Amino acid sequence: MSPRLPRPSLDGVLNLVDVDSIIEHVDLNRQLERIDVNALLERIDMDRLLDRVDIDRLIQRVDVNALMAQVNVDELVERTELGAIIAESTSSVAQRVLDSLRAQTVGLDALANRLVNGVMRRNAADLPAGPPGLVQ
Amino acid sequence: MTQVAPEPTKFGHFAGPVTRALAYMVDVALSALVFAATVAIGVFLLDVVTRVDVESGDIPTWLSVTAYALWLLLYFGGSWAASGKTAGMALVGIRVVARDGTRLGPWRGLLRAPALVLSLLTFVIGLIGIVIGREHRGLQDVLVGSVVVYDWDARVARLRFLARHPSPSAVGSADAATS
Repeated sequence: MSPRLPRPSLDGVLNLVDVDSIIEHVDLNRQLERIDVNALLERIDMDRLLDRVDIDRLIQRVDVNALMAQVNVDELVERTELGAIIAESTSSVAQRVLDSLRAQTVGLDALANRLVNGVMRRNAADLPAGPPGLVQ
Repeated sequence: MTQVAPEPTKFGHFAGPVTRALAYMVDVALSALVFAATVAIGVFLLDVVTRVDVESGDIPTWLSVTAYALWLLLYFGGSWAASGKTAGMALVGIRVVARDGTRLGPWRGLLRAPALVLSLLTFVIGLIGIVIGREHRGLQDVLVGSVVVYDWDARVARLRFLARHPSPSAVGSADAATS
């Protein structure tokens, strides 16, 4: 009667195998080519998947300010229908004249303020921009 | 898309001396015009109804001056009390608010008119704060606790301008995108 050998445990066997080495030998691209992605997608219940997504939590993790900082608003308005909508809503000649007049006077105000600040040797950044209730 | 600094809005910022002076000039001209037209219509109606031939030269100077002064107080004070801005201020895009940015209120709006008279009587002393002050406050602002701010959004105006005058590169891109 042969002596009874101890049964090897699965963990013991796996410890002897170099998994990294095996993975290196696998051609993943070739394996992926064999997968029919369309068939896989057809089997996915998108509604059920979306039900499991916590949209609120997802949105909270998005840094909207950082996202908006990447957007060139000028370019966006020029390229999209948004610009045409804004133009249609306020395309009167009077509005154009007002915008132009106001822009000019604001520019002259800024010039006068720079002159005064220069003479009084004070930094414009240290001055309040507006009332606390209107300007943060 | 490239990252750009946002256009300054200017809304709620302290209004500068040039804008305020322009608004004041428009208001003085407009109020004088309305006053002259009202007097002319009044004299005409008096002539039609009573058959009394009244010439503008017949009206005593003290009465004309008093009536005009009262009209100015009503014009400025009434405008500030009602909406925080006169016609001239609405034109250049500024308004009067309380120092904390809230609405000024009708009584303080009314009182700002005689306070402006006081400020004009002192001329340089009363108005110099508008030019050199940290909050651009004249004597009339100090007396009633008000400030004058821009009531006009420069960023929106720029977007309106861009929408009306797109650059050639943007037009080309838009055409390519739609074709």
